[in-house]
Amino acid sequence: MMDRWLSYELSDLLMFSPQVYYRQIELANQDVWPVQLITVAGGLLLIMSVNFAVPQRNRIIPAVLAMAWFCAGWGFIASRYSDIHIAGPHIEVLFYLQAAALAACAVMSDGLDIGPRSKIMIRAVTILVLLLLVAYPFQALLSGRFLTSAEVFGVAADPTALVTILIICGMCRGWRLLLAVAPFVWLVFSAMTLWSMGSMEVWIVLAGSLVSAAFMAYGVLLRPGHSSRKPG
Amino acid sequence: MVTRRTIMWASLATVLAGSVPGNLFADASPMPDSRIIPSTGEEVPCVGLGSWITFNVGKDQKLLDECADVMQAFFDGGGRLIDSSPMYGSSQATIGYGLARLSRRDTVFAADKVWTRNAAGGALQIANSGKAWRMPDFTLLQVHNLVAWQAHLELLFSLKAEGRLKYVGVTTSHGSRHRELEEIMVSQPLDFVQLTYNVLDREVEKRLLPLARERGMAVIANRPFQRGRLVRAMQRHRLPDWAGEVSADSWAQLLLRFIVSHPAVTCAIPATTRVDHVRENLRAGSKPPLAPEMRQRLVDYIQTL
Ligand SMILES: NC(=O)c1ccc[n+]([C@@H]2O[C@H](COP(=O)([O-])OP(=O)(O)OC[C@H]3O[C@@H](n4cnc5c(N)ncnc54)[C@H](OP(=O)(O)O)[C@@H]3O)[C@@H](O)[C@H]2O)c1
Repeated sequence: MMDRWLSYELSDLLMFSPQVYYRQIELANQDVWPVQLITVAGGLLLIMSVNFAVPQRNRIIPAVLAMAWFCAGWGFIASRYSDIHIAGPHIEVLFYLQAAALAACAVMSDGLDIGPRSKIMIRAVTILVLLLLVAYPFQALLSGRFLTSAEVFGVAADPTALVTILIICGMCRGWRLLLAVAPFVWLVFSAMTLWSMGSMEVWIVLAGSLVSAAFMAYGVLLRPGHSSRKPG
Repeated sequence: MVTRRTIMWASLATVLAGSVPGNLFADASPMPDSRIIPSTGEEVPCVGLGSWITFNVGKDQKLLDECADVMQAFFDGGGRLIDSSPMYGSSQATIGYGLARLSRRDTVFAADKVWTRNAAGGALQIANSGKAWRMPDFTLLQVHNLVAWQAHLELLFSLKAEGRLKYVGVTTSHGSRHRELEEIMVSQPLDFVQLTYNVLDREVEKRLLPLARERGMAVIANRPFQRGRLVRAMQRHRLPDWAGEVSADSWAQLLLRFIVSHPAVTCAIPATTRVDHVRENLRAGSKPPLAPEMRQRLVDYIQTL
């Protein structure tokens, strides 16, 4: 069995060409426009909530993330990606489950239970999320594509997963870190796909995942500025 | 009536056509040669069309139309056998779209696969594949990568007995599970086997290709260009000096002719997104088979690169 899999290269498992993949993103953008404006506005609300003691921020953050996972699951994975990948329907379920888990967190009284965080961590999360919201879509141009195939938070899967994993790993503790599992699963899967397609975005996905892991290690091992169970 | 003047013009045209390179006479290309399917004696063109990746374009109208154009060039150039699988994402539906747009359901030699671990799920999957192809029945159904092959072969043989299927086969690729394939070829009355064969993947020459001849089974060669890697790698080098002797004007043609010149091979199934490539591939099938010593020369030449 093992030798059977070893006879395949990673690229042999790729089911579509890069042209087709980015075309699905372009079509998803057309399908859902102007939802992108709402999701990016939601993303900016995330940044505000991370930085300031916005009332109910423990519930606003998971609510916005839940909306983003639902929109990406429905607008991209279910409507477009499932057409070209046989694992699409399973990934769709992953996105909806993550949206449901985040929504459930949003209705809990202590929500994400974000305690005080070091300034460095807050700044790092803020800068990275801001870059993912406003700079990442322009990556399309760097890759020689039109802006119509820009990957926008809340529609495309990669920026949605990256923003989520950075916020969860950077700001949460305890069982809430489990909310990083679904983004992590998608990012591993996506990194393999992007690598096989020879897309530059693979480095962003890998870097984002590594930084998130570092955030989590920093929080779990060193626990700087963490006094648990304080409302945020 | 054939006059001396007609003969003269015809000879001149032949000489000219032979001396101009490439695609100038692309549309007037001769049809690919046919090979005989041993179990029935039916003929099938020796170059078919794969659909893994290339036809998986989702519901994108623009790309669907581009694939239909490739299919049109394929049929116009004398091609018939198209290979797909439920594993290939939206490829089956793309083929269905093309067949409907081109009204070519009568021409196509529809080769599809069963690919499910659920032994009882084969019938439903075949029905769904039929819906995607927009065809009531397939010409050939193959057990994809030998997955649950006992149960699926039983189903396929029963469909054949009912007259709802013409040919039954099994597939492997990437050189995997050859021993098991050999056992199946010995024990089952298959019409077709599909396996990976190209100038670099030649392990099947030892046992499987001779066995297919012995057992009267047609052979479909998949991955003729190793999903494009092989042809791209070769294109970085010049053609061998003797390519002109066998009237080969591109690497793709030489690589395909290597495959379809093996006496056990019925058909190679290159996949492509391009009309010019599908034409070139069909042209390769129209040229005389490479003699065994030329095939060996090609292997030797490629090993030096
Ligand atoms: N287990 C199985 O049953 C199994 C496994 C593997 C494959 N298969 C079947 O075999 C078929 C073929 O194998 P494959 O898809 O792996 O790949 P392949 O046919 O070996 O290679 C396809 C690639 O070759 C390029 N190409 C085609 N014609 C060309 C030409 N004339 N000049 C230059 N490049 C050319 C195409 O690029 P362009 O688009 O640019 O032309 C495409 O990227 C599959 O589509 C599938 O139907 C079956």
